[in-house]
Amino acid sequence: MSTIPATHDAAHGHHDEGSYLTPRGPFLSTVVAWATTIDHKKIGVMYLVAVLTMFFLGGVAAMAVRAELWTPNRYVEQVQPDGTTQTVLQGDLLGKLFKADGLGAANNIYNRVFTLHGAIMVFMVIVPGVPASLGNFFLPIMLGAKDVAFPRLNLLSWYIYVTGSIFAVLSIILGGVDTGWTFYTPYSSTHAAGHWNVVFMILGAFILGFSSILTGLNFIVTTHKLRCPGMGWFDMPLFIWAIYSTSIIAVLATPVIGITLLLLIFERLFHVGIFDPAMGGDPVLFQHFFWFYSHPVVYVMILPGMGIISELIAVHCRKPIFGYRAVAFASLGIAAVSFIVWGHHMFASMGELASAVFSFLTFLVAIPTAVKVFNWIATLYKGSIAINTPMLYAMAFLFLFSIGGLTGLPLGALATDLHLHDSYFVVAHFHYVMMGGTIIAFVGGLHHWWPKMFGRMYNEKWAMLGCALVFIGFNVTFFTQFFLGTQGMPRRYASYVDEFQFLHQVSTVGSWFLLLGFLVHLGTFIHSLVAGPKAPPNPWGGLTLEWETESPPIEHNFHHEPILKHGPYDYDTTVPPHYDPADYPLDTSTPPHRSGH
Amino acid sequence: MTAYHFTTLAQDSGPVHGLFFRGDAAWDKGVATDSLFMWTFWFSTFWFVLLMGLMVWWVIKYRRRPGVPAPRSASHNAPLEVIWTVVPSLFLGYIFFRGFHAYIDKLVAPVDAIEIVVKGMKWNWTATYPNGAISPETTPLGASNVPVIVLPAGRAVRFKMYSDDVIHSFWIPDFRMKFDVFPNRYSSFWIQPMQAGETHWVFCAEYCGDQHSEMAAVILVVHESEYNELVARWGAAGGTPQEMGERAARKHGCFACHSIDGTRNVGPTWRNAYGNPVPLADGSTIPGDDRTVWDNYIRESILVPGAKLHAGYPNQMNSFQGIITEDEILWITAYLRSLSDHPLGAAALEAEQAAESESEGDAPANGEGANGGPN
Repeated sequence: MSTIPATHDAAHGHHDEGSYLTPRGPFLSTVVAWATTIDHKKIGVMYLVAVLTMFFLGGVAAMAVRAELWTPNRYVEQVQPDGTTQTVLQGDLLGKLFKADGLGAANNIYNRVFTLHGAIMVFMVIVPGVPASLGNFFLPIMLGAKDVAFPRLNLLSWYIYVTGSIFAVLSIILGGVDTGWTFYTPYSSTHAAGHWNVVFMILGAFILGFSSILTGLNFIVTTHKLRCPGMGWFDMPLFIWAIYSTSIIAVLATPVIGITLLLLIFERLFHVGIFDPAMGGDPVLFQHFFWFYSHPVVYVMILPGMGIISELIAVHCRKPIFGYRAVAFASLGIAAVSFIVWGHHMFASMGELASAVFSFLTFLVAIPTAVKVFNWIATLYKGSIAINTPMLYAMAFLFLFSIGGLTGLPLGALATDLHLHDSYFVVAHFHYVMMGGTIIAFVGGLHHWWPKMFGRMYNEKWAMLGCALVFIGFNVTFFTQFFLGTQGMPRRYASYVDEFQFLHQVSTVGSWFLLLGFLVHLGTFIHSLVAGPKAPPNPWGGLTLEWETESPPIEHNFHHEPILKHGPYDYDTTVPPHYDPADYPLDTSTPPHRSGH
Repeated sequence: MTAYHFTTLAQDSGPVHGLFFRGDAAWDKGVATDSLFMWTFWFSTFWFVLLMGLMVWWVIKYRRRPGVPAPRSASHNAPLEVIWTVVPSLFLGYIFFRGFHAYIDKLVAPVDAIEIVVKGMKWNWTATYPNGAISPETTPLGASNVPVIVLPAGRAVRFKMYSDDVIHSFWIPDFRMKFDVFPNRYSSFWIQPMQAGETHWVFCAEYCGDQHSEMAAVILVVHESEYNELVARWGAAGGTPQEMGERAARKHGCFACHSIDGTRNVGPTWRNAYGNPVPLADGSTIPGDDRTVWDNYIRESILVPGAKLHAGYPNQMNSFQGIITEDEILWITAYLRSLSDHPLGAAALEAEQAAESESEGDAPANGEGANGGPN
């Protein structure tokens, strides 16, 4: 690289304040200092640790699901040592592991494990993941602020998150739930096994909702009130636009799931009869309530990922994001339309008119999403593109998310959905969107901002290897599931007819590569923390404000309140902070274009 | 219990279609669904290859070279952005329209469809034929024995579905059709099996507990004559459903308020009611000409009488929730049909039942006769 990392002295004239990571005093008081901190960076790191812990738990459940599906469950005649023939159950890996008695009990264990996987990944990883960790850490810095608007509320959000997660873990320790993460009534309100398990799991999700609402509120106010001098709305990085849109959805939609889950608890404990058909209730009403939240929340999950991708592509291509305003407005447009498409989860349970309206609206929400993908790819044109781990992840995102988006078309169209609904096609589709979109963007963003967060570089070759393994493993695992779905494999099945076994085994092999990829990343990150070379303040040559401060940032983020002098992506006209203009030639042959203007 | 040999459908729609589907769809409406799916697939493939091709090409072509800045280029282009917003929108509109069209075709059954009542329960399916018969046949599938639902080739079959407990979903992958099955109302769709000898999987597609993955059935398609003979043989001894409906109505005292000769009583008359629009007290109307709407209207009026109050009548009826059985509701519905001159009423009911009893007897009108015995 032609860049020279600037020294501390070039950045400021003050004495060294030390980074936010610098321990203050002995070990115990450092722990107390972290547990009571109101520094958004520490809270962001604490969220990161909590979210990754839950990701690990959810991942173990995912591996267990794939392992169980290696073979279908079958009764076979088996000759015993004493010469008699006995009918025994085979193929129920989890059943054998937990000493389940018979087919029903074995299937029940599988049902608990996939519920665990879904509930943890959705409520504890993907929904809070990016905003609470990377968002918390970078939203104030990218705005040029010292902290979020309500630092104490921010710490409270973290404790609420942990409390909610503890309730969920408590439910698992009690034996887990077998309702599916969607908690559909009347199964969840009457039949599901383990009374208190179900109540605790729902209570956990209910509590987690408050964490989302408070974090969202905090971010909205921060974005409105704490932008540094010189930063107008259209000078904000697109990551901020994405987090801002996400926060609006979270604040508006989360109360609905809160009320719904509370009603479900009342239904279970006191039999109020709002969802129970035996008491005149309507179980489909629950589905309407549930998806009225859970569809907007799909965009709570994906918008922050989209924000990360905008940053990754701009920085590593050194180009203004093509059509900045279109991308910003697409975020808001998606946020708005996301509230009126919930019915597309229910085409197999609604009347014709409602289905037609929701199908039409669903195609409407596809358009701003497609526009974003076009804009990202157009940004590559005539860029100066670095091939590194964050950029590889950005490309992986574009690849996987495009598949996720395009496979949404046959699900949005009514005739094809009535075949594909609740099949493995849906499973594959939402993993392409949720994991291929959000998780891939999250891991890409983590590599992009890792040097800034922890002040250490990581081994690029190993990180790229991890990325390749994750990409290959992901596609082998989930692309096969599209074929399973179209051929007739329903989702949430502990067993299956013989014809599906080959594709299931391919999918399971893919999951092992996926696991290996994440383990390589884990090793790379641990190696970086222990022995990684010190990171310069601006290793990639970014123009947004987080690259102006040190790596890792000082406790108050900036020595002086920054004053914005250039747009977030004005690579045509601006030498990035900490770069020597002599080493960073700008193209002067054509007049500059300023992003967003 | 018979172990059936599972057939594989012909594969004439090309190798790519063959990757996605186990053979062609088993009826023309399913073929239309597949055609839309494949159209969407090639449309998606075109955009995906274009976008990924550009991405890879540009990343290689414009990879970073030390000391060489990115050339200045436009950071937005309004005409281009309008074009790439509007053009895909038109295609999406086209997909929406085709999807809606093929969906309506699959949901709205022809008037002469045979009605088969499907009951979902944890974890089994029961299919009841118009004469009250239930198929006693089962076959091994996966780790369980599952019921065999026998259907006649070439006849439209309408499933009227309800659940005894939680929500299930009745999915027949070969027909590209499913619909959820509810504990508090009927849902329905139709299919038309084409080829005698075919077998088709039925799976429960809505998670329903421990044995969700074992909640399957097999549809066996037979010649119509064979179907009629089997159903007649399995037939219930208690009389036709409308006769049982009349007895149930008598038992529950329905005639105290509802007349069957068209005269006005405390409640609306049952004569010529079924299938016709009903004006409601709140000013809205129950639309006529729709079996599902009417079946649900009857069911709801028995269980929650005040929910949809007939215009001009007082809200005086008590709920029969927990008093009347699901079977009795089905019989009373058949009874109301037998009292109606509407095309969906007595005529359609008799036609369905006549088709079934044909093989028992004396009118080998279709020339196939009664001797096409089961194998």
